[in-house]
Amino acid sequence: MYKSKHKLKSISNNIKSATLSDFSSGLTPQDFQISPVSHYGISGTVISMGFDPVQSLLALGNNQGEVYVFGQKGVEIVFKTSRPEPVLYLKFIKNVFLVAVTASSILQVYSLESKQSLTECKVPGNVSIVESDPSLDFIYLGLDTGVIMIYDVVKGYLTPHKITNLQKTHVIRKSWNHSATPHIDPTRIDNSIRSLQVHPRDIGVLLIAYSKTVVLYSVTERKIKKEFDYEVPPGAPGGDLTNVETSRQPDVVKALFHPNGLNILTCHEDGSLVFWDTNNGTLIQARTLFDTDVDKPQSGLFNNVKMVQPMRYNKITQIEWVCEANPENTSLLIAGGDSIKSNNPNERETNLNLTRIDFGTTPKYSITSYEKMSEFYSNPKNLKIFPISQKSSIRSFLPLPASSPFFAGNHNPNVIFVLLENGIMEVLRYPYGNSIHSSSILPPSLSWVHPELTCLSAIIAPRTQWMGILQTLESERKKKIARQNGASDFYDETILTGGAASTVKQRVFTEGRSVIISGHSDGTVKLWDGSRSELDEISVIEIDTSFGLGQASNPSPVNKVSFSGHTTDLIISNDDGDTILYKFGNNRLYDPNITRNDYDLDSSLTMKLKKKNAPSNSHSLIVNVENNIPAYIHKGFLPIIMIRAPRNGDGPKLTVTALKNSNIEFAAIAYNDGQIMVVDRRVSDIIFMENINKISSKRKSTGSLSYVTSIEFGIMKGSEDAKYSSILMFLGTSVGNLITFQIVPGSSPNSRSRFQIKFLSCVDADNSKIRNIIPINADNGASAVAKTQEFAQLGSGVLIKGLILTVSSFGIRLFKSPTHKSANVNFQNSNSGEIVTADICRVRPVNDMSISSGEVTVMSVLFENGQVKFLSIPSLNEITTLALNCRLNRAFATQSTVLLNGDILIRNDKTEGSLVHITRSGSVRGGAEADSDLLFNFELKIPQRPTFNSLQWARGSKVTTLDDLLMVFEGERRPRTKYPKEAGLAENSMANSALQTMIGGVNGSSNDSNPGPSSDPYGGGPSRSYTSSSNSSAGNNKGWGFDMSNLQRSLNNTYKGIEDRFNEAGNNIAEQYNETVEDTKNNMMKSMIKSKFSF
Amino acid sequence: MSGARTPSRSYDMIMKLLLVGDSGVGKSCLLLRFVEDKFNPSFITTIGIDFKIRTIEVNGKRIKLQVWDTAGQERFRTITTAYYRGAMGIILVYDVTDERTFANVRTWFSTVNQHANDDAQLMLVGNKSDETDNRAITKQQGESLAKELNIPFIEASAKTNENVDEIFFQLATLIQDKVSQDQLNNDGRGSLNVNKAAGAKAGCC
Repeated sequence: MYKSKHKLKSISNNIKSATLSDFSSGLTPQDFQISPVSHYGISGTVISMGFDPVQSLLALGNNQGEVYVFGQKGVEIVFKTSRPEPVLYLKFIKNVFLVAVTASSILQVYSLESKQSLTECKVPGNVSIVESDPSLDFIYLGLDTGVIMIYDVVKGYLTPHKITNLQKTHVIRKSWNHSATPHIDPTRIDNSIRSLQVHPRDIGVLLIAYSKTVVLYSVTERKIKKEFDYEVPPGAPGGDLTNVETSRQPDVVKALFHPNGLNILTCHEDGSLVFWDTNNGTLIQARTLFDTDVDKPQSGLFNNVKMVQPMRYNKITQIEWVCEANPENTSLLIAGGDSIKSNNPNERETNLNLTRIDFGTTPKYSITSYEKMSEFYSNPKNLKIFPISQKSSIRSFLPLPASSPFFAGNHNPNVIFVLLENGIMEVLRYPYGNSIHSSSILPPSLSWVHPELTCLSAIIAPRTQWMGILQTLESERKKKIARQNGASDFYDETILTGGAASTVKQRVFTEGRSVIISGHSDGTVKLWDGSRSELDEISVIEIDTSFGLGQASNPSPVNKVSFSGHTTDLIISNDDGDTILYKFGNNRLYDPNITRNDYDLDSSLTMKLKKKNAPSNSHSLIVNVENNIPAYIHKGFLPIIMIRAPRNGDGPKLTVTALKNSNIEFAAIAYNDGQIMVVDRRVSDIIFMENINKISSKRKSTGSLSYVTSIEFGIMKGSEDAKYSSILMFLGTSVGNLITFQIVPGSSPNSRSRFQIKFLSCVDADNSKIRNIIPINADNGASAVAKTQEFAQLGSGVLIKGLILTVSSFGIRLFKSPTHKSANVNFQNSNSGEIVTADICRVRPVNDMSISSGEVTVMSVLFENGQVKFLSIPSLNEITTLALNCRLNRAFATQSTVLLNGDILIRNDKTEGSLVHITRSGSVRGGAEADSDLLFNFELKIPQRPTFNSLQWARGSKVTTLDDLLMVFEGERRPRTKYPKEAGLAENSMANSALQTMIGGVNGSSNDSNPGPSSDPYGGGPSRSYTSSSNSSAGNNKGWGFDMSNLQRSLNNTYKGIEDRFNEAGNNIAEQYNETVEDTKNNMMKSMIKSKFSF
Repeated sequence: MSGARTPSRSYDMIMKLLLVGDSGVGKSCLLLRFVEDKFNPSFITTIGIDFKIRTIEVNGKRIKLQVWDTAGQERFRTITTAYYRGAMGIILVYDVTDERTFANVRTWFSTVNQHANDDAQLMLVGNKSDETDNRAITKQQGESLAKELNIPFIEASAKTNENVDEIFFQLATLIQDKVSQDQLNNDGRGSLNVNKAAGAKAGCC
């Protein structure tokens, strides 16, 4: 490890530092160990999403074979696929399983209970669509050959049954019969499955979309029930007004069921949305997003040259039929089809918006006419376009249903997750359409991908102050909920409620809390408790700078943040070069009657704010922004003043290169032209402005302007022979200078401040930019960063001898005082690449008994290759080197921070980071696996699937049961499950009676009192439709446990659950199945017992 | 004229119209009045874009008006400009009680010129003409700006339904005149030829 060069240098360092005592004494390599505390964000790019509304868990898959599952607060589990390849599809099955399908069609089954991978399967063929239903044991895998395979997730095997390509025969028959389609060559058409949906009321019926046709298929009867072929006759506009003189058959994109199953929608590549009667295949209405009756020839069109210009819109990439709590109130949510394509063929087609077509309440099938239905689909209540992103195209969107997991996952969503192609996520409130950026309602890790993280840092905050802030905000929240009689505001509850965070206290409490500070592209800043698993309540504080700047409608991304835990104030700069100073306190303008929602939806409130605070004196650098605080905030970080970037005439806008909010109420702001500004926060005034190029230009003649890259405030003697200590402000520059200013009492002519600033020294510290400056107390090795306590003692003439360490990309230097011209000790390393960050930590040696149990100081240096070196102070000798278990992306790793308590915040990539601890003594308790979060809650049951009404059964159409389907797919001799425990949980996952678990229910709340006589087979109104097929007694299915002490009871309950299911089935299906049911029941009983005793 | 909707099955022409202007000038109210004959005094920000259809009859021709109502807020501006493409008529709206919105008409005018089709017909509308007490911009000021920009001008009130239908009928008439003029100019080419040319570009099915 040690090279001879190193040894030599160490010796020379030792000689140089001989006069100083060793502040790292007693530390040995055994004292160090890197243990993870928390992981943040998501690695790679998120490309797939899945949601389980019953368990309330969200799954995100990335391009590197990782699947993240999120629940409430910090609940987070990461699964890995067997190969590091893109995860394309994610489906939650039967409460306890999560299925992932990767780019090379490897299907992987995970258990949410054990949080382990259960099995995997290479699907023979390329999967182009994955479809499932929460009430089914299996998933359908649509292949690009047009074949549909069925994978039994509960048993863990690919069933022998296949649904063949139904398009092939269809196309051949068509080309025989239909002279209008001579172009179709059966061998050259796209056979892939475009979409697949299970009938919302009958699990035995599938709607399968191929490129050329859409088929309604009965699985149990193994036959096509209906085909839906859309043809635009000559003279009709069609979706895009092209080829209007001919007959057209635009390719199918997707086919959907209306939630009541009575109508279907086929969506086509020309933008046509075609509505059909499911039962008899009548075309009801063909429209596009903006036009209607596009299949009707319009004689008028041809009299007008203008009209036949093609109006080609961007392609529809996703469309969902969304319903409200009452499934008869529906709307379509569409990505694409909304903007006219550019004539420039090189311009990439993008989908930047979502469109919502709100149809309102569906007319009663029994009493309405096709004419009326056509009118209904052509005249929606509302059509709205929600802007999502200006930068990146929409990859997919995922509604989060609140009422039930049925209706293709679109039952009453109030939130829509939108995934962009760049991996960034947007969260939309539905049906309002406004973006939600509040991290208190989303899993913390999502804040790294939504909205984009623009800067990151960390500090140590005194426990009392920090916990005080958190508790104040938490009691605010509770008070607010109490005031609203228990009804919580949308922003008060997390969207995901599933899982349970590990309750084990992971580490020893220390006086200082690690606080992580993140800045975001939407102008928000978030303060996180660094060890969130120790906190029960909110552990994130959000500050929205757009209000402070009076620019709520167009926020500027945050560029730097500095927070002092001692004084609980904060300073934030943004990309416009503006800086805002905040202080924690009570809002004078608080109005309990105004909610955050009011601001989101009624911009007149925001406009009022804006008008109130329009800067009166546009030339002043300081703008009072005390009133720029929305009235819904009672206590929190309140803006005090805004400082505009100083400009030289019409020169370009300046950006902030370094920002420091000290613990003693001075703040410093540095700009890219070399200007440095110091603000005395006591009087909210600028007390000092200088350009560092005036000071250091003589020393550095690089030609370009240098600027400040790091700022620190310390309290120590200004020089070795000084008679008193003073406040020193250290500036590190882009060319490696260390500039020191002294802050001394005195009045300046233009300010109310009692302080003034004097230049002390400028020394050449390094050849490259200074990343960090670390003042140290030369008597005890503790940090000499300015704090309130020392500040208070200044008056009594306390003498603090100091040392200063500077960190650059290539080395660390130690100065005995700011006025020393050259470094006393140097550390340089070429083996590990560049230094990304370094700072001192105070640690307690474990093994050393000779030293009284005090803390000692060590320098922790993080390198770009992921190594961490520990150096002694002041000799800068290497004690040991450890490697982090992750790769670092240097562009982001420089935002990592070493904290005094031995924590290191690492930003290893754009969307990923972690907090680790470096010492053995303060390490994390227990293994990461031992006390990880829980995901699965067996008390939550899937409600009964909605079905058709009893009237229909009476007329002879029977309801398909799961067993009917399993009989088709697997026959009578079915294999045993590979994982009996999970299979048992899955068996018990269904509620015995409808609506047992989910709020809102799945049945239509229609008050149709007069359905009228009807001759159609779907007779009756929706009021009597969709009743549960369950006719068994509802058992008590709460608290089914699996521990040995409850074995007898759980066996009984489990068995009862199965029996109920089969009784139910037995009553509903034809007699001939009875024998099989009995057999299966016996087999299942056997396997149950086996699973209990783990045979 | 009533706001009642006429059946939209047959029509002679589709016109895409766009409403632009600062946030809060009453674009959505004008549209709601025109299409549904309703007025909502509370201010609800348009998020993104709202779209409504009404078929009207001008000079014996049935014209289907597709009206895009854009959000005035700055953060939506880049998004909404994408919808300028293909618009045949664009209505620039300001609020007669708010000087700033009038001053911003020039900015809107240049944005429109930058993104819309060259032959799009523009129109300037001063909304909230009923608010006599709070009026900040006179009718003369509006007229002279319209003259300077060389576009037609109307003052209207969505609240009292004054001149609301006139905006859309006048604009539709102007567009119709323009189109028939173009048709005259293009008489040498038959419409069928144009169809074919269009078809060649698309390559459907």
